[in-house]
Amino acid sequence: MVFTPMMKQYMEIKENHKDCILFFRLGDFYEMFFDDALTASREMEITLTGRDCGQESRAPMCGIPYHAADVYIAKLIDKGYKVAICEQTEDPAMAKGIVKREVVRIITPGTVVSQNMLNEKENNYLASIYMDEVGAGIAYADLSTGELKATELKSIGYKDQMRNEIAKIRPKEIIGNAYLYGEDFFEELKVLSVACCEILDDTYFKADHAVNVILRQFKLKALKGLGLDESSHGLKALGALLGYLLDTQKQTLSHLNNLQIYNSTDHMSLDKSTLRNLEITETLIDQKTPGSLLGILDKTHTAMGSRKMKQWLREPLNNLIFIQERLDSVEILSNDLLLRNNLKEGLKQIYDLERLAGRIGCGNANGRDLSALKQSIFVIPELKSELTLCSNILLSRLNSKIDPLDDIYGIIHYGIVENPPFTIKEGGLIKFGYSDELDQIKLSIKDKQNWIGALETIEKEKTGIKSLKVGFNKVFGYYIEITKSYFHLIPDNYIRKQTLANCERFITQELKEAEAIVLNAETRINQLEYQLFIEIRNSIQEHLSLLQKTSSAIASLDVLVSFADVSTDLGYKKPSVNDSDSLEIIKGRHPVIEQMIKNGIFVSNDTYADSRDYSLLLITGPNMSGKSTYMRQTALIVLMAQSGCFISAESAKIGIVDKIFTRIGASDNLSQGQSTFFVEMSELAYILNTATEKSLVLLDEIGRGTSTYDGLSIAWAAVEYLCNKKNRIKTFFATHYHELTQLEGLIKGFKNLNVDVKDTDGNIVFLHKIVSGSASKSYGIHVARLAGVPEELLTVAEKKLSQLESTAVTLTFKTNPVKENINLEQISLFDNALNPIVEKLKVLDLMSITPSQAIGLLEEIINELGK
Amino acid sequence: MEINKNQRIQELPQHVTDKIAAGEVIDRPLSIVKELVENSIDSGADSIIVEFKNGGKTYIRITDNGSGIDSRDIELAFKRHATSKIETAQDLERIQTLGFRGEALSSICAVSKTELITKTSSSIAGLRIRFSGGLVLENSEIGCPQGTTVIVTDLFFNTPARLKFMKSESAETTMIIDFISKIALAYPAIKIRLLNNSNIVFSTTGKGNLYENILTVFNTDLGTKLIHIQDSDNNYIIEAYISIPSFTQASRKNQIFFINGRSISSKIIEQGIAAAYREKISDNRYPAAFVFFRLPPNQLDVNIHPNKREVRLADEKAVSAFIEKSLLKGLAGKFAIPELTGKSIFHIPTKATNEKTSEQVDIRHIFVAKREPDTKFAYTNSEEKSDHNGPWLRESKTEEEPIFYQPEVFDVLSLKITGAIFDTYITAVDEDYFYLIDQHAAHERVFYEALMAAYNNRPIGIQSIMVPFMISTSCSVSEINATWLTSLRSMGYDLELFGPKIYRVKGIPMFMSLGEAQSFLEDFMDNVLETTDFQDLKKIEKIISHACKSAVKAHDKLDIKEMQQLLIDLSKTDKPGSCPHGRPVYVKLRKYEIEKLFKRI
Repeated sequence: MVFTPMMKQYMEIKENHKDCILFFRLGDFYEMFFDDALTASREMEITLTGRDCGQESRAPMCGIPYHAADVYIAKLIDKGYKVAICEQTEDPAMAKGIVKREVVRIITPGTVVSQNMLNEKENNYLASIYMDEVGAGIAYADLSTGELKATELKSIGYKDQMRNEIAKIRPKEIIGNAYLYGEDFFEELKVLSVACCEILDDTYFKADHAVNVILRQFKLKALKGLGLDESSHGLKALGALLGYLLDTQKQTLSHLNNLQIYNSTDHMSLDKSTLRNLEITETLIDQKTPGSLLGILDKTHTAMGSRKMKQWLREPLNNLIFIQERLDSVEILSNDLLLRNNLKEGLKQIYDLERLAGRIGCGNANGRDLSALKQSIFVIPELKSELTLCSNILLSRLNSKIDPLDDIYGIIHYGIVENPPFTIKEGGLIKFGYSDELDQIKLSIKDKQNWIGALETIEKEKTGIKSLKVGFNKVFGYYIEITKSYFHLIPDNYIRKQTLANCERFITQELKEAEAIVLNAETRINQLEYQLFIEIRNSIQEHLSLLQKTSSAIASLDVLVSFADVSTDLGYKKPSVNDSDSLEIIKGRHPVIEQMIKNGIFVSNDTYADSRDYSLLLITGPNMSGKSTYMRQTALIVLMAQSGCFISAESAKIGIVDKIFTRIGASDNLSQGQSTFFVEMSELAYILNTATEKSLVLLDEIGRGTSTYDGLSIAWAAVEYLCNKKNRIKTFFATHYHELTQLEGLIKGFKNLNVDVKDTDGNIVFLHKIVSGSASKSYGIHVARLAGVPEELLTVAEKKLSQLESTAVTLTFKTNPVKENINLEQISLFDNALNPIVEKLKVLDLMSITPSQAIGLLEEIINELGK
Repeated sequence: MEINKNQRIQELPQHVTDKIAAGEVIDRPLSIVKELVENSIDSGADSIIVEFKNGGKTYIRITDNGSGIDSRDIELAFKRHATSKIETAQDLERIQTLGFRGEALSSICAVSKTELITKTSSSIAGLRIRFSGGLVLENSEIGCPQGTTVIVTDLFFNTPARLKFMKSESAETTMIIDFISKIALAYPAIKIRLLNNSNIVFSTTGKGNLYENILTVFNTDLGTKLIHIQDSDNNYIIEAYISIPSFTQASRKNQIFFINGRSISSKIIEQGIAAAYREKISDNRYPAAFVFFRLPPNQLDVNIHPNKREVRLADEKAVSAFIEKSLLKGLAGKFAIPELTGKSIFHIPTKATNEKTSEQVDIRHIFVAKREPDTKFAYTNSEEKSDHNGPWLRESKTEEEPIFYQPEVFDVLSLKITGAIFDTYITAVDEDYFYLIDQHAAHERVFYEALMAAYNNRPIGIQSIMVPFMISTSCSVSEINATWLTSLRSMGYDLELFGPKIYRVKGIPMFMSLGEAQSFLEDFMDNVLETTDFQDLKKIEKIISHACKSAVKAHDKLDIKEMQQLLIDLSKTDKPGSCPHGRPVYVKLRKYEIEKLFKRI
């Protein structure tokens, strides 16, 4: 038995798209067959049926109506599937035999452009990674907005940098070269970005392939001026990205026209754990915006503004001039209420221009989209006239970048009707007067219609039949109806069409011709309107880069207005930013906790750090007293300032920070089979290797994931290391190892801070105030009591604590009396003098020694210690 | 309640008397907000956060950064008639603080669950005290910033009778917002943030800019229409923002007064304002006025009512006269010239805003003006934003005094039609005024009311037409479920399917010409969607009013008879003063103004 011809066609197409679920267009439905049908019916919760396919058993099949496809596609994409859309590419009426069908698009998580499938407040990035032994290149694009960026990572820590970049970009889909299979990168990336990852064939990443694709995309003759050379990793990543996009979209993507080559040092760098731990754009627990810094600061009025803000917060500036520009413009906006209100009114009326541009670029825009674009453009002159009055540099620059877009407005205004329908294939789109041809057709139809309309009166007069009626019904078309009593008056040219009970219906040759024109007109008009619409849409494509530039500037304006709004509402102040390496915050508050805290009680705190005398600030104090909050607020205030927002403090002088590092809390990577302690240590290693004197480092309880001595030793060593560098790194170090507080005065730059506690007769009050000096206790038992741990247990714990405090633990450190001007090496716990013993013990194989040998060894050690 | 068998008279325990007395001071959430905010102000705070939920019934929080309450005073603070603000009876004469009777805290605690957190600058730790129904539940130390926070939850949980007397959540909310708005104006140097159900209502800057605060708290529209006034004499000081005479409202809602920083209602000040605006605005219209008035404390008695809302002034006449005089000075300035002047007539708006460039005259005001020759000017306000069916209609529906509206008395033909200009405006005169009547607007109004009547199933005449015309439906209209067909038929159209998406129209509404009927139908079809809900009268009103607009565009030039007819038709409508989109139908210009234009006067 053989497959039916249709099934054969299906099999051929499916053969080329094995990795996708194939949506096979049959009339008004998309159908899926065989395994696809099984998968799709399960994932989309639709009924599975069957279809005769020429074989003995029916082929499993399920289907969805074409107009509802978006919803179902979204479901599949969400679950990580790719969907290939296979359409009928010729008119079934014209086709001989089976209708031609082709895959017109492949939709993957990173190439979604349909409005219904996108979160308007989020970019939908597709990232491409090319990596080998010497470096990596990343290119990423948001097909829905036309954003396209690429970077080259070549310094020593390029693998970590790559991780950080991906964590920042948060792509929905990653493609990469085979090298990623090694070192488990592939698995790690999946976890890191929650993206759908795929390794592509090496041909995608070939340099000559890349050069070809890139030159074609940007209509260039040579790579010069693009900022990428042929051998670079970025070029290969970009080539693969564009190649993949072209393969899936199967059309030119005119809106991907502006490539930004960036360097990871262009912005303050936030590593992946910092992005997560500081809860900048989403919360740690449930990855939601409310509760994050973004949730507090985002009062933007446009979707593109919201996305821009997210980007600004993930990429704070590190250039004094640019930061100052943003802060100055926020100041202007926050001081001028009328200006701000007028701008807000304008922004509210602007649609998502970036995504409109994206849909136009992808050829997906419909009449409504163009109408929305026109309405948005209509508001632009008002924005510009408001901005013209501002003398501020950044606002003026944005003003000059915002184009009135008169050309686009004109094209739409003259071509498209005011309220176009959603569909573009059913007419009703094009304005009268835009196309002579269309108008002619419409007029001629109108003529015929009127003629038919008047026919009744004319024929009545002509024939003298008073009951003559001209009517229409859907089955028989137009007819002239005459009742029986007038049959004798029927003229010769009437052709009988239908006989009813007491009347007959006729048609004339002329009426027939008119009918043909009227009835076929719709199809003709619809076809023509569709063509004209595509023409109009294509002509807008020529202005896309101007539109994109404008929308980007409007997005920035929106963010600045939002910053100003929030700053006035929440009492934020303008920070003073400079190029020094010191950091001074007066009465700083945690911007998020301050708003979220239930009773509104938040104790503000001052901060001072520099890279000379106050470089390592060791914070001791009880649990729950606010150490973490204090450290995070410091980082967040710096981040806000460098993003261009006012800050949640009374005042601040902020020396620009190049990187913020955090080692806060437990972020178990158990899914990757790594222990808490291992993750902690690898993060510490990363910080120590990458931080500079301009960096800000937050370390929360380093070393707590292992035994006390282990942990303490590591913490101690880390403190020394951080202070030992010529240019010290500004570090906030929260710890419960009170032993470390002894280092004040011994190590330059080391200062003790603690969270103040009022302890009256064991009655403990947390004051949440950071003061200098060290805390004596951690009050862990107190916290346990607050948490509701049984009193019995607590009594035992208290007993144990006093026991421990009076003996072993403190002893260890008291036996190491510290001398003036002591060499740092000497106060180390496990100094060289101890090392031989440790080494000796390390190599010892218990299984292979006898008891007497062991005693001998012990004696040796004791002797050695006795020296 | 259980009846006590052996009832004897006995002295009530303290907490019971407290509860009874508390009811005098605390009768609704607003009283709590008021007492606590006034305490905050008196404590020298420059930042106050007011937060409430569910109209204040479930949650009220006031946080300030003021001096805080000293731990030694804390117990006392919750006793009745304990206050830091006065010491002797003589002090009552010179009250400068807002609170003084020492009832607030104790009363609040008696009828709710209250938490107080406070810290002075000298103490290390703050205090946290929790009360329930006047009893202390907890008294402990806490780390907190300087200042006082009071959180009141479950108001009147122990006095269910009171609970019943509370108004709806939205009413209580409005009262609180109103009050805090006034406080924000009275204390521009205090940063005030108001949160309702966790959303920021407004947040003032605390920079001391009164004008900016008015913009922040009220709307920006108002902001551009205010005149600033500052004046003083030996006794009195006034600072005020008052609206230009052409901006008036139907109520005194935006008349807000402060005497010595205390928001009060005062007939005396109202009188002063009314006197200043006399003859500048029509009766029943009120200017917006934010008046900040100061006088020596000894000329003012604030202790005449527990809520301190009413005050007694020593010399009422002098105050009223001073206010009138000060306001008049301001009104004489250049900002106060009514908008209908030579300048504004020829002013062409450059932007597509809704700036009103000429006086809008509601036809009822013409009538009012006629009946009462005293009122030389008839102003109406123009506060609507760009909303098309907006406040104009709303206002004429609800806020106007219907007493004066007797259409049969108003004889529109008493206006002598003198012609038309630009084929658009009918010109007419009576003895005192020159009128411009927008014939499009008038037409629209006539059509609109006729069609809406028809739509609402009042029978309407159909006229058959000789040669039927065709109309195409837009592609978004379904032919199967054609509710729109029924509604058109009810409006007086006779139409039937006559080809694919084509209808033949054989009859049109009686009062329309062929061209009008056709344009109306075309516009109607363009705006009807498959999804249009024909039960939604508002939606239909919108579609019909839009279609009316395009209907009257169909013909322009009217002869004198048609103009007469139009005015007769118009006089029969319910709301002749405006077209369905809220634009005015009439504009009038006083003869006097014309003479002024020609420098005759």
